[in-house]
Amino acid sequence: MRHDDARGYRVNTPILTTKKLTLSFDEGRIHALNGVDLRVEEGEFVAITGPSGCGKSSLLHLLAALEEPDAGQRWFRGCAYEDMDDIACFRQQHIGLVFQAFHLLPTLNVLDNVLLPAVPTGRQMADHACDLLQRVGMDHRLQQYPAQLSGGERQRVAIARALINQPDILLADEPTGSLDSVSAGYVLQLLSELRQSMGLTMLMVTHDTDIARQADRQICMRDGRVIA
Amino acid sequence: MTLWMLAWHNIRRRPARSALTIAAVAIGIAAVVALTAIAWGFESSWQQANDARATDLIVTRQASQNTMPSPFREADVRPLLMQQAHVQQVAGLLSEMLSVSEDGPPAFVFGWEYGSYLWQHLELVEGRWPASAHEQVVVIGTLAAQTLHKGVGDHVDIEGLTFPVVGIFRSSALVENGALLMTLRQMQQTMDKPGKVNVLNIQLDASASETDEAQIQQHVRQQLHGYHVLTSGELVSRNAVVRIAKAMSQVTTLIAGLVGALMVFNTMLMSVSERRREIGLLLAVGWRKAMVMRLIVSESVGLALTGGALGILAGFVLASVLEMLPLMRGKIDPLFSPWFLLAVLGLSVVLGMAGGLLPALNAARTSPSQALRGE
Repeated sequence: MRHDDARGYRVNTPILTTKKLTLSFDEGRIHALNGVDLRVEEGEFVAITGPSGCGKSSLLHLLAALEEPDAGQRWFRGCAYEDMDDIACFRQQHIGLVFQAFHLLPTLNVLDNVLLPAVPTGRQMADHACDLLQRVGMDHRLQQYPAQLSGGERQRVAIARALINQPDILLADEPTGSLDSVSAGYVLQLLSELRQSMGLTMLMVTHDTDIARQADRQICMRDGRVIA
Repeated sequence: MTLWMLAWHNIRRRPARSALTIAAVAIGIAAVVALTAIAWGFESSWQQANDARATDLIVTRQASQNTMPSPFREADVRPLLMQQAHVQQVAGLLSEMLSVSEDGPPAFVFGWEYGSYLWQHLELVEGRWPASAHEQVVVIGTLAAQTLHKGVGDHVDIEGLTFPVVGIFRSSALVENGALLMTLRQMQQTMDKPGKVNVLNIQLDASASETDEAQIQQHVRQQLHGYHVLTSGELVSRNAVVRIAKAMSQVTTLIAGLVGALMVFNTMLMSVSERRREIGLLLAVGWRKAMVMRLIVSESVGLALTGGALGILAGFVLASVLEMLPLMRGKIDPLFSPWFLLAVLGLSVVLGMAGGLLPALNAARTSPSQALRGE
């Protein structure tokens, strides 16, 4: 028997599911994904590993609906992506993104960078942003600009930005890839704490096997396929 | 943080480029404001003069569309006009733009029928009025006295004749304040146009209605071929100089609008191209394409609106400077209508939107995935 919540999502189903996801670039000459099947449960921490170019980031982009697959299907809590009326709204409400390159806007201060995803909502989120920045240990640098921050600090701001709209899923693409080991350790610990305290589902792309071992489950990819 | 705050922030982040775009828009808008204010001011100055004289109807040659219509023999027309019902007075007027001193700018010189109602609205500030239709003297407006540095007891040379200045007057019409005034007879003699006038001014009695005015116009049209009977508003709007000035201001508006929109378009296109990754990020964090478009259009409108506001200020200054030039002083009073200034701000918004629309569409087509990968 099917049970739907108020927003039309099925309860007691995996938060993310994919079936035979295929993606290619350069008019089909480069195959990024070759029929990826995936199932992620609520609250799970999944690490996606594999060599460069195996399709890890492409998979993350497809899950974040930043890109359309050539073939295959994606579901969020049982609802197919293609059936969603407003994919931007889905991203805004349910997905938090953290990138290796941080992607902070250099001309906005820390607080405004965190508030950026909340601008379309029109809601006053400054208090919530300050609260998040306190949780990532950046509340003392609200008015500073990205250029004034270290790599680790920038990533902490980027994490606060990813969480401003209280998403269900955090998609992190090599979040420690540009950091030294100390900063990387701090960021990982932070992500782990936030995941547990906020009940987040987290998918993290990483090259680092030590980091991957901390996940609930590891997915290994090669040549656009999930091999383990 | 709101969309407008972010847009304004983006405008300020490249100050040199934004300043250049704003300056280009401001220059165009300033030209529009100054030229339009002068064109309307020119029209309004003549309208004011006719209104101040309490003239109800004006007779001119049919084909003439000059500020000073072609002269005609008043004796050919006056008797017919005097026969019309409700016509109280008919007063001849001959005028010319003349050089009245070697180093001074040209000035309007009016010859008004001695003793006619035309003189009644003037206030004598100093000296006296001409004592008779034959007296070879002038009275000058307060502004003309300043511009020509003449006072009572001085002399002016007009067309080889010397005229003592016997009085200084003030009028509610700028054109008259900047003018020299003598009797019609003296003006006809000076200009070698005996018996001729540029226009005949008609004053109707108090009981005349608009229907009576229309009837007089119809009668005269039927009986006097080659002449027009116009209201002062009709005369001013037929004026070729007013029409040319208005046409020039319209063409300037068109050119300024096109140049402004192109400048904004170029700036926004460069900006979108440089900010591809940033736009990709906005889309990735949940901004709708329409929201991204609103951001880009808000930036372009912000640029154009700032340019428009500065342009209006610069237009004020420009028109004021032009008004103070010796050649223009006392002839044109720039007219700044609040509605026109609002329309200029509206024009700024439109050209901002026009310049920002394509770059905004371009931004909305950005693939967030490709942009974030730096492709």
